Amino acid sequence: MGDNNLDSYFTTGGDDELKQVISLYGQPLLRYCHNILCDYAEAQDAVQITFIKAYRKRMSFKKDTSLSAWLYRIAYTTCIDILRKKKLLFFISSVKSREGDSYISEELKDALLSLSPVDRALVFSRAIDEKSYAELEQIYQVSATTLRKRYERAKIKLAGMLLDR
Amino acid sequence: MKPDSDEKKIKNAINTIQTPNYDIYNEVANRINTRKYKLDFKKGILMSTIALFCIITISVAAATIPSFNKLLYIVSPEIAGLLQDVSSSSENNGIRMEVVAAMNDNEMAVIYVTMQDLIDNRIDETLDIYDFSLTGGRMFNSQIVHFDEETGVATLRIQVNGGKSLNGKILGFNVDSFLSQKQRFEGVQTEIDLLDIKNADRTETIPLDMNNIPGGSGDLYMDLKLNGEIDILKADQMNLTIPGIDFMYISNMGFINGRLHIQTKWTGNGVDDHGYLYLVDAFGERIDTRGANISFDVDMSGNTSYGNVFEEYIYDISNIDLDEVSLLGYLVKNNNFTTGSWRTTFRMESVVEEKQQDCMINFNDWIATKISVSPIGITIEGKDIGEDHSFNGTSIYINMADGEVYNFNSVISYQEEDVSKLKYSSPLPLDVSKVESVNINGTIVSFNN
Repeated sequence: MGDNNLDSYFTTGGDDELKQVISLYGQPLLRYCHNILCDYAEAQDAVQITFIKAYRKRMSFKKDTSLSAWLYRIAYTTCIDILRKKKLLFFISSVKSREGDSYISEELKDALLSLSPVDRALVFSRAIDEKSYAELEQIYQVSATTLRKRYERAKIKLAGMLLDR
Repeated sequence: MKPDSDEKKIKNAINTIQTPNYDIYNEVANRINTRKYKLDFKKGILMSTIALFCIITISVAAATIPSFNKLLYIVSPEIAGLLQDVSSSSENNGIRMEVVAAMNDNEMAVIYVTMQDLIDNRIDETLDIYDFSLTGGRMFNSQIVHFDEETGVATLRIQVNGGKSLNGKILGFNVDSFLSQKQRFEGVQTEIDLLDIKNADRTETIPLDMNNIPGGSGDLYMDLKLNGEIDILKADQMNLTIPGIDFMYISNMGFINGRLHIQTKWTGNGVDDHGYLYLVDAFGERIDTRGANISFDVDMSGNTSYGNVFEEYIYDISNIDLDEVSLLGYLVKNNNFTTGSWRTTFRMESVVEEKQQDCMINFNDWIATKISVSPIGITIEGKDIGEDHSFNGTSIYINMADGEVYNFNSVISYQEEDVSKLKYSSPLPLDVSKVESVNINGTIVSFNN
């Protein structure tokens, strides 16, 4: 089933349609979340929450937007929420979280973490997923002009960090 | 899309990240069917511990949290026994205050105080004691650590400096007023279009004597203070309300010497209503910019005078594009201010249990020479800790025998008999018998049992 048909079937469908959406977008979203959170366990959680939210809100999905952009938007805001909660927990003298396996080398992780979560998301979306600025506007709900400026700065910064190693 | 050289570098690096696939649908379907998807953080974090520390710092409503004594037993039954039983209460204006526990580790003392409204609902989880004092010791801070919704009892933790001189001493803890029924408004959209300000006519200003104001803050503040007299916006030329806010409004806006000025007037009846305005970018991320805020009042002639009816926020926006910047607010309103006279006295005794270890840990500009752990927290003695030393980036945590790890971020520094000390305090008492080691910026100091 093509992406366009899946858009409309997903909103009115059930488990089968959910399965198809996950088979199409699951791994790409998992990689996306993994890159933002730099933690594989948290990325697994984030992508599951993304699909649960999408499934529960599927009736509100607007057919004149892209299902892909909609799902990435949910994944992006879910990752930001996770990071905010994590920062809050860490702030309140909690038990230090035990480091899980992130599947990312320490050097690369340092480079990625030198960017803000927003910039990590943006760089991945554009440089790796090669999303158009039109789709990025839908995902981040910010003008293409602002996205371009921000992406250029983040890209140069990250490339510079990678070069230094 | 043809990648440039930077993008190729980034692709090559990020493509080394392994992201193992797994049965996402199965996990999602299970969670949907069980109708819950509680975020499952790192394994090993006790949810009761999270709830415990959430109360301490966030002061949320505690409908499901057990009483204070039960809280301590969740952490460790032995800890409750370390607290010196004190019992000194005072009742006035229908409110009872009681000192319920106190302990001193010869460097710092902690007192636990409860307050309960016997006739009304003036005590709540936002309790903030306003006028208070401690006789016999130097008080450092006070914070609410628990509120029991059933009984209406709030528990405060008062941190006291004083050291060995406090042992056996009779202390007096007194409260004359408190604030409560606090409302916090976070991320408030002011709906101000900053481009409108940019395009406005010339701004009218008045002079302000920086040596005749209650104060201010921000990294620009000292620069402005050095000028002696600065220009600020003419007072109260606008009346722009912020949606949902009835205790302050924006009274003027404009540019002075290239800096953005936003003036506010605080009109509510609440004592100590306060807050700040900040800039965010198109992603909603706060923009770090040099700025200052200054308090002042004006007389009948419109000239500035001493007071804090007005607050002017000044932003250096030289590197900011105002096209996609928004102005947001964090505002606090205190709906209740209660006065009274609550007087308590109690005797402070020393808590003996403590672990110590000599060390020699070099940091950038100071050297730690001894570490002690008591139920109150960690003390690090050091040399050459300057007054201006910043402890940002110093990470401290304790490794317990049962595998738990406790982080600390509340620190004070002081001098005692020519020895520099850092005290990292714990919101609730530590079980010293279970402390194995302390990790300071990756250097582990073990305690020889």
